[in-house]
Amino acid sequence: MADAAKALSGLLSGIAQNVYHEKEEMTEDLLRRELFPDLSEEQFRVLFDKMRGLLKSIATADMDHAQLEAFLTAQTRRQGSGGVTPEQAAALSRFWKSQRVRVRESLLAQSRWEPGLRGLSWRVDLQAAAGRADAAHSGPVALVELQLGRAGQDSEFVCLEFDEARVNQMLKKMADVQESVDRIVQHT
Amino acid sequence: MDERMILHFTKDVLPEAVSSDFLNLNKLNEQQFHRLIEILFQFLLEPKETERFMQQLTDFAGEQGMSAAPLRNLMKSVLLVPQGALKKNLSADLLGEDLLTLGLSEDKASHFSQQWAEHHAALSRQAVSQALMVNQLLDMEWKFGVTVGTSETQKVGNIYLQLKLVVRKGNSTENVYMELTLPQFYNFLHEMERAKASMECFS
Repeated sequence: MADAAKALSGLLSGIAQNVYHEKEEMTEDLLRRELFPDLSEEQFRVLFDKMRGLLKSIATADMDHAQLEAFLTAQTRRQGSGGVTPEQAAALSRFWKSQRVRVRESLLAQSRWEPGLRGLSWRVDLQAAAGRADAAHSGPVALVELQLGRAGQDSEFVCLEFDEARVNQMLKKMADVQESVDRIVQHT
Repeated sequence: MDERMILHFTKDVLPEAVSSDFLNLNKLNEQQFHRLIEILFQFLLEPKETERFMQQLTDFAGEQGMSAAPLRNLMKSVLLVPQGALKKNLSADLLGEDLLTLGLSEDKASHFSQQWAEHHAALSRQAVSQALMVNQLLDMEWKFGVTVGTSETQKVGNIYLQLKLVVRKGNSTENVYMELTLPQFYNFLHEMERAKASMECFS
């Protein structure tokens, strides 16, 4: 019995790794061989699809404890192959209790389609040239390096230079953004 | 100085003041010079710590019975050398040559370039130490909203901020997109304010 429970937990972990944490190597085939070697491919597919579907329903609705229990109870009452065994329901319940936050975070991260700002470094350089008539080239210059990247991808680095005027322009725009944010956040 | 100085760390013409600043450095005794170089390298290794740098110079000036403002200006001249040397990835030898050309005494030039050799690896590892491709920001556009739901999750309520930076890369412009959470945006804003404060210390 303990083995069956462990295998089900392993299966749910594997499904979550593949669907929510983008581990492509966690394939259906690998999971069958590792966890349910006695099942045929066909039998395993039925189990896999059912557990995956249930996990997705739970994750999409971000069920709390009460909702989860109600949902699982309803599933165990279903007749035929659509239903869930008590062991499967218990495995789902255990899994969701410990993994809910992680899966949630993954889902939110996946809904961001542009690269995120992973890091930011800067330095201020002094300009040596004094003999030039071009005043735009004198004075301190800020070099700002942005580290951008999407989940699971390598970072891209963009280096920007700002003189004082441009830094002030940037800060003015960011103040506009902040003002907008404050207005919306106050209303929610 | 009338002759054009051949320098490795920069191709620019240096202001007159830089030459006299380096000659003034020679007036310091060994202990004073070593301490100033220590302060200098501390700043080079942590370039965001502008206020600390200024404070250390002010404290040093007080201890040595010097005026703070001329010392700060002197150090601004001195900073040009290692900043330029970093961009060009100069060796300690070439840096030492430049310091001699600028009029620094042999002992002091030797100490400075020895410190450079010791810290070079750490300085080069810093992000932004070698500006490979530095671009200008032409414009910034932004969009801000709330994700209320997605195909994968029903209820979200997540505030997002999308920024589009229009950047000049050489002859063309490029759009750089990013999406920030609110904490990331506030961190970005905070860092830009720090950069501005740092620039004000130096202007």
